[in-house]
Amino acid sequence: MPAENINNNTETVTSGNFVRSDRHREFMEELLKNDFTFLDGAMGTMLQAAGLKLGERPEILSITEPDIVSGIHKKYIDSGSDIVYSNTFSANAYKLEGTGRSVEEVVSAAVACARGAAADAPDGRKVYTALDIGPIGEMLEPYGTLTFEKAYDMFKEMIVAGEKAGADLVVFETMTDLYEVRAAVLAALENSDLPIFVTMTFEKSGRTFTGTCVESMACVLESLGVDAVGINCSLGPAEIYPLAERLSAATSLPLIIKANAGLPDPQTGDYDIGADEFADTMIDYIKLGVRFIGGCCGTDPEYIRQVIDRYTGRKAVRSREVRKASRICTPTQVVEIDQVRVIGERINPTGKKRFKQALRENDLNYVLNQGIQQMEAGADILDVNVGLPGIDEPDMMVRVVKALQPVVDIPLQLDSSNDEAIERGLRVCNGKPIVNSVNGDPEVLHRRLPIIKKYGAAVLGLALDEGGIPETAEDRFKIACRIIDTAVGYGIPKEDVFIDCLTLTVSAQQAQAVETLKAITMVRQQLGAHTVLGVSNISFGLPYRELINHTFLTMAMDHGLDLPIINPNVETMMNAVRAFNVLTNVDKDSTEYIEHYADYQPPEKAKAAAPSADKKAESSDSSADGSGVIVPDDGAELFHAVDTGLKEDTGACIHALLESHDEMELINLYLIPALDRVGWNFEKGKIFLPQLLNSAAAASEGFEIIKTRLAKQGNSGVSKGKIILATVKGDIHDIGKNIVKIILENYGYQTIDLGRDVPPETVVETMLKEDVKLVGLSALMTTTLDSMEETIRQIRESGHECSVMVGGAVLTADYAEKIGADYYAEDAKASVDIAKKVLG
Amino acid sequence: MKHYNIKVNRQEALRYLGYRGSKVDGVVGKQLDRAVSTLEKVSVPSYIYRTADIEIIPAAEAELENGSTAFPENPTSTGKTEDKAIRLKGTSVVLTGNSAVNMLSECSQCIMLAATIGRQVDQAIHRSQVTDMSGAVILDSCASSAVESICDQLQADIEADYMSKGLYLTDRFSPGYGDLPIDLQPVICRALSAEKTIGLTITSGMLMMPTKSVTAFIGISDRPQPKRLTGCANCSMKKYCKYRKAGVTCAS
Repeated sequence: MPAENINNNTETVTSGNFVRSDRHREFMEELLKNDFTFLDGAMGTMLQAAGLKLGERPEILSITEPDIVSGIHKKYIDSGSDIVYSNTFSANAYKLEGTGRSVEEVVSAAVACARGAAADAPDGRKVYTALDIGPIGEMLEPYGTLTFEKAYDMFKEMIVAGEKAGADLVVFETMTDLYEVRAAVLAALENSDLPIFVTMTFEKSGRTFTGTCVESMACVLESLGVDAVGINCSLGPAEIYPLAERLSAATSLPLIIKANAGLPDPQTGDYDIGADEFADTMIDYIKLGVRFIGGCCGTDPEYIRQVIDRYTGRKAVRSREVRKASRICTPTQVVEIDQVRVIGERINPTGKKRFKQALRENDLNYVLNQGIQQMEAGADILDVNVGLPGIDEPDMMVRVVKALQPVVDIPLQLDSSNDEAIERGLRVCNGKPIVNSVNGDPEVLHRRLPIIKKYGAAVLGLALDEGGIPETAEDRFKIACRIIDTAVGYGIPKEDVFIDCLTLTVSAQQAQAVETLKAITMVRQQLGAHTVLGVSNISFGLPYRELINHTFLTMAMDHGLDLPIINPNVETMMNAVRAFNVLTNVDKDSTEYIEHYADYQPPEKAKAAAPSADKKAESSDSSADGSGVIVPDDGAELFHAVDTGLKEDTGACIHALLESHDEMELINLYLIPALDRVGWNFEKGKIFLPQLLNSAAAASEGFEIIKTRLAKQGNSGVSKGKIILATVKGDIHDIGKNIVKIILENYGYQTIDLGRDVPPETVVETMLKEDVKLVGLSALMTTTLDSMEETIRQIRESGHECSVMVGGAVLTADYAEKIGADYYAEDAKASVDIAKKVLG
Repeated sequence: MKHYNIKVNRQEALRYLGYRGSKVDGVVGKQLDRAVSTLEKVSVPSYIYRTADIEIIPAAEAELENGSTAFPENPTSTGKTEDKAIRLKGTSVVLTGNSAVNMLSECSQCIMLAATIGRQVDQAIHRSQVTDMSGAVILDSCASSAVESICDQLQADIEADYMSKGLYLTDRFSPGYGDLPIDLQPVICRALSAEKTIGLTITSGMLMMPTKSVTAFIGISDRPQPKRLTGCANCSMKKYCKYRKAGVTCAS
């Protein structure tokens, strides 16, 4: 594929009927007949020894100096390597840009070098060529500008070229970002038959540069179905050992180790251990069950020769003891279902007007806040449901998953009846999530399970089928058996299937609560499966629902429920879980319980202990300060709360004032003037950015209360007009843009936040589609001012009548004028003044 | 490799936020404390550096090698460019433009370094933006101060080492200073294998990722080196600086 094709950002979604050929299995069976398979050592170190300068691109040498590259492979083969890695570590479209060489050219030449050397192996020994692929070299979203889909396309391009050139397997190595690894593995699974090896690079802490931990790597890659996993680079054999030990305990896949020749001197880059010591240390790995052994930076053929020498006559540990367990994960943490794990249910628009409004307005921040709140309240997993008539659910699922995973550390449960939403969500989900749900209906099982298997997710199975919800526990149990059997038939391990025995409303079907509990016990005890339950349905139609809910939760946990789906923000529910953990000896020494409740006071006492309600502002806040803002007679307290940035106080004031004022009055005569005064103080240099933002956050607490009230009345509009905000293409510094967004929203403008690294076309398209009259563009670097200018040019070219304001550290009023902007916004406050001028 | 702990200079962090010696209120003070403790928890300082001999080559040759031109937006690049450039021997790094040539005019060797406090810092800033924007901007400026502190400590140690051998260091200067091209960034990263060793990558827009990172050069000379970079005259922000407009300097 020519390099220019990869820029077509096509979302590749393959259908569920994905089947991998047996080639990889046969390859592994063949290799694993041997006790050990030896890999090669460093390529870069050898190329430098051959005269490559620091900073030069080694991949080009496969074309310009093929004899040098083949010669290195040959040396490794002569020293005993069974698999050699092609000289293609950075042969991707991003890294090759500007070299005048295409990916296919470089990859083919490199694979040819390796295959040529392999074909000449002494004594006709079989030597395999691995297509070697390192990180793209640009960080993936959300921190970098490289999208998941683009990374996928770049890997695909290399893999297709490598397979065509005759590579026997593909190795992804020195990876530090699990998200990038997922893109790479999916590209290999979907576009080739090659066996897949993955090794990641960890620091001593057991985490990669991006925070991925050893156990998460194991959890995700084993579920995705790669053929072998391991660790390479960064550390020497002694430092990698404890990490390899953890990996060995976390996966039953064959292990690969390619350590550096010790640690480098930071100044000279020289590694500190010789071949002899390296080989001696590598011996220890045998007992961890390692099967693939080589060397990384600083090693040469002598290191490999000595390792093979030490390994000769040794036997591999063929059956490692790996504990089976139910695990889901994010890159940074694994959640094992070895105790009650709470699934937070709040990311779901059903019955929530404010949530629906947020989805319709693309207000992802609202959704993210719901996620963070639940996580802080104690949720271990977050259910994500964004289904709403009139919105593109698959698209919204992708956006919400991509936005949530960088801000919450806990695994997600993708919840949708829309198959496309599930598949596209799974594709971009970084980690191992749960899919909610399948049921006993064969049509549903055969449609969904292949997708779930392909992406390596866990699955929630509802104990119902095409005939509805069975009345008896026994019949629900039968369906549970069918679900698990079918899942196992698709290659999904039993540990990854969780059963929901279904809650019915006790006010309508009172006898059913007991059946549910009985079914939970049967599934837990007879099938050993973990159980899920949406708890709060139980109490519909009854007064004091909370009491029924947490009582039922406690009963269900006692019957074996370990994945309750609840609202963790309801204190009594989390109280029940924490107490249960103490009473079942899970919370050892009641540590968590004590930590949580040490300061607990009964409600009456807590009230008495609260500071007296005297929150009156010290001064009477008149307009005498020069700001020209008029403080209403009953507004001093609110103004003071906004001034000092106190969220709770602002909320309390708004609630109180709502009793005597209507919503619009509160916005126009109280909240906005309070913000105006803060803005005035900011302009005058009396307060600074952090204080301005604290005040904005306090005011926004007030706006939120008003918005929720209006949404309940079926009124969504307090908007004074729409404003597009974007950080221009090439720039990823978005903190300034986000500040402007907060302040503008406080003033009642609806912002359409296009994010960062936004192409000019997207700005123009959105502007036309939404008929927007004001666009705000931000750029922080001189290098990205060009794309700001280009964006303005395209806005003008569209002929749409629209004002443009620009801001950012390197901009000046003069420069803003020069590139055709209408306004220069020196700071966030100035952007409000501009918005008032343009939109009123 | 010696480990350095981050140090946050609160005054410096506040200066980035526009404070000019003014008192910090209670809320902001607490946010500062929280930011510092977050950084102490999440930052993973790491660095790498190499020393190379300096070789003077004709500028025309350099253009061919680097494919880079002087930074067009920069005020100091308007004068006549030196017809010399500096190559770091054994690497593919070539420093072009007046600033580097002047800075290294009395040097025989040059240190090339990269340092970062890690990607988790970016994550923390990003996360904080969802719930507490004010906390996020404070965290952001504290993080900028923290990565500089790693470079300062490293430089002080290197300096002490060379002083004992009777050698002296120039100021630390980075791509973007004066007319030193910013597109040296990926060249430095490749030469130091910075992606592998400290996890530093460069975007196609020449931005560093993790964002709280520094790449820099320091010259080594056998005679004491003047401080060339202090003072507004040498600052690339001279035209835009808010402090100058307010009649003060960032150092005051």
